Amino acid sequence: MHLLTHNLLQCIVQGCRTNSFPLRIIPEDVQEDERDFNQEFMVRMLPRIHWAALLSALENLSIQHELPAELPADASSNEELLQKLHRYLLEIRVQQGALICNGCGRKYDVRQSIPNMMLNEDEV
Amino acid sequence: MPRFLFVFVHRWNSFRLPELEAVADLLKIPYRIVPHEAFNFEHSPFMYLDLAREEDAVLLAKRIVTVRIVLEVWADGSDYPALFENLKRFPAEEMQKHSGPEHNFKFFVEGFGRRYTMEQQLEIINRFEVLPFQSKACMKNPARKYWVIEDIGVEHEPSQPLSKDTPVKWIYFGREVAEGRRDLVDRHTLKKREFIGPTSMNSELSSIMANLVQADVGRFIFDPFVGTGSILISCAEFGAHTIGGDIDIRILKGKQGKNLLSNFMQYKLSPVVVDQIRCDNAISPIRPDIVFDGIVADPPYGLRAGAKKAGSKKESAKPIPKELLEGHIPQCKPYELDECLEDLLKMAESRLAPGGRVVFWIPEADGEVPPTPSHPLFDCLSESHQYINRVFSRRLVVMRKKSE
Repeated sequence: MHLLTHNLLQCIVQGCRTNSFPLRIIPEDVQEDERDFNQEFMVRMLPRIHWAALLSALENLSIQHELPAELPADASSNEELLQKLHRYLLEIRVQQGALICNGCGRKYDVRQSIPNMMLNEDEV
Repeated sequence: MPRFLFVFVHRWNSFRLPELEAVADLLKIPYRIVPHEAFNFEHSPFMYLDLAREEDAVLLAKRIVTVRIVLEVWADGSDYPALFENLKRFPAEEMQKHSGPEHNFKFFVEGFGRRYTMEQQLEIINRFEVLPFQSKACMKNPARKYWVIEDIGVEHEPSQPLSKDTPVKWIYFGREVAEGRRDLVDRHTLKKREFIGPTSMNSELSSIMANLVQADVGRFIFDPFVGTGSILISCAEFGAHTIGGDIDIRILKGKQGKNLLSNFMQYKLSPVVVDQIRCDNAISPIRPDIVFDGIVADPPYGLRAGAKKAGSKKESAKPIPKELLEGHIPQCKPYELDECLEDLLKMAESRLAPGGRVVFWIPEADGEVPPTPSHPLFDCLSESHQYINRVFSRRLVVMRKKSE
């Protein structure tokens, strides 16, 4: 699970509405892959990224970063920033671990890099 | 406006216009389909298009999977005397651009509804000796390719069954401007793919779907029933970043190191595959904000793999004891088609960018034709039919989210 994917995922337990996003990452095995940088994609995704969720994910993974507290207005023309975001969102990957809902405490496993976002039969 | 002849593959007839429309809209290329006396697009692979410039024809062809070749027609007609009469009207200065000594050339002869022996082909080619070419014929890597295409027609016309005496309806002669993307059909063929399942979408339909959803560099495409990833591979081929979900963890994990990711690696497309999520289309874990540019779906209904969603088959499910929670495999129950499609559009309504497209299949069997779901935020752009056999068929629906 890359952090872009983490940036999209929320708790789906019925009735869990407060703090159901972002999910807290409990990392067990974190890896980093190299990937071609695609500026067009990064620029297009900028307004769709939940900035605070990205910052909290980096914090969960104890990754030192120099990102500002909010998305800078000139982000789309700042290639250095886009390169950094590319690394954080698409290169860092949680191979094993879990996602915990800060609202209801539901745990979702991440195994072989795949987050398991299925509810059990007694939860639906 | 220059006029070009698009020669389509004579399959997937009802997919051709939607694919052309989607690609032209993506590339912002205006076009006009020219009414033509010998033209019947239902039964014919030939279509005249007016375009602003030759470059537009090349750009369209570079994306369209159902297009074989695009010609700048120098002359056409109902027979050869008429064709050569028309050829006299083709501007000499246009011809000179291609007939100089540096432009060696090759002629291709083919018939729609007829095959020709080598002798017959040569006989046809020899008629074109009247052309003022200063260059030589060249069989390997010619600078210019010319096509003579005789349209005899197909057997669809009951009054005239096809025979060797069926007269030619129309003859086209022109210079090849571009080739379509038939190469993708072979490049991604399931026969050579490392990891496939019984319902993997073939490379041709996957590529058509990638065009219908307007996959492109910089775009983000989601497939909630990703399976072995066939449709996303085609979207990635056009440069889109892709993410897939599936309820079946065995498919996502794969077998012996072969899985969706190794398929992407096989085609050197790993830079644009983002992730796989195990999830249920009935309860989407994707936050309800605009995140995707397009959604493709081949929901797993039908004979080979029925649709499922999480839930107990019984009235109420027993709670799972805490000590058994780790590694518990959720029970699943059947997922009805209309509910599945309704959930698909519900998922798409907030997560898709305005103008973004959802492209999905609806199965049909024994004359039972499930209705296309309607949604106030989506316009239905096209529906194309694939006839699988006498009992089963399915249709591919393209819906576009309204801009407001």
